[in-house]
Amino acid sequence: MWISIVLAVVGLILLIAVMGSQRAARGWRTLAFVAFCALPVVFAATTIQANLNQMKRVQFCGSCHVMENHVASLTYDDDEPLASVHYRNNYVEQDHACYSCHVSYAMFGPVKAKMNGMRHVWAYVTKKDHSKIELYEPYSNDNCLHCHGSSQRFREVEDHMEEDNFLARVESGELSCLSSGCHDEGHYWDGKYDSGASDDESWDETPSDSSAAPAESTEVNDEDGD
Amino acid sequence: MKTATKNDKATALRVAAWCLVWGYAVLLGTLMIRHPVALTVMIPLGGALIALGILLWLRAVVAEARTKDMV
Repeated sequence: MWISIVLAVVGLILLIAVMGSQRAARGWRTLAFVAFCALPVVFAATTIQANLNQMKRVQFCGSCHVMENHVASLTYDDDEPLASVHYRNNYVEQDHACYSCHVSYAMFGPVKAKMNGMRHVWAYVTKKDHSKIELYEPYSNDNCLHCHGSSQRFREVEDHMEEDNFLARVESGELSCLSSGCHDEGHYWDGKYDSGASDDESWDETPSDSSAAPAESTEVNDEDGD
Repeated sequence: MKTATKNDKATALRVAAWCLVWGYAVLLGTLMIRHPVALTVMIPLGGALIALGILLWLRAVVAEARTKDMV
């Protein structure tokens, strides 16, 4: 960030110097090239990079009101929702938790994420109902397998070994990690964990254990009725 | 005719300089205003202004080089 600010100040000084000068000597041409071409490119690159890093932070995702419940759900002491388990146990970098799980690890994943971000803003501005937000497409197994795929602990989970071709089906996307009835609680997005939720009976019934189980062994509580 | 060309070149450079100055300002603003909506508008806008400034400056340079039969 400070590099960007220094570059901007130097660039502006150079621009003023070049525009105010009537000389056309070789040195001034070089200066003009730096002021008009080289510095702006470096400045734009560093600023955009600084902003991209900022956009990976959980705090940034949570700065939109519609995301507040999702971000709040990260810290609740519950072993059921995957987001909470991953965040609290530091399975993903806590400051980049949203980005780690929701941006594709493919080459253009971050670009796609930024395009989707622009769609979010457009939808937010043009649509009146912000009560429920949904993923644009089914959650990709690739994002889970990026970390879990090569993990021995993941591969040796009993449920994962029951079928012969279970892992092949997961890797091909035929069997979804989230929507096949196994790990279907990503977030408690509907305000269950808002500030008044602790008074709710269903919240009191939810098991809460600070010695959290790893994501691989998290079992879905079908009786929770969420 | 020669004066007009000189004025055109000066105008092109002035426009390029202002595009760059505003591009700098908008991108610098993104470092301070970190709201998603602002960033979504300001980053493409600042980047486009800087790109336009560079393009205009290069165009002016090429035009000058052509008048001197360099290209």
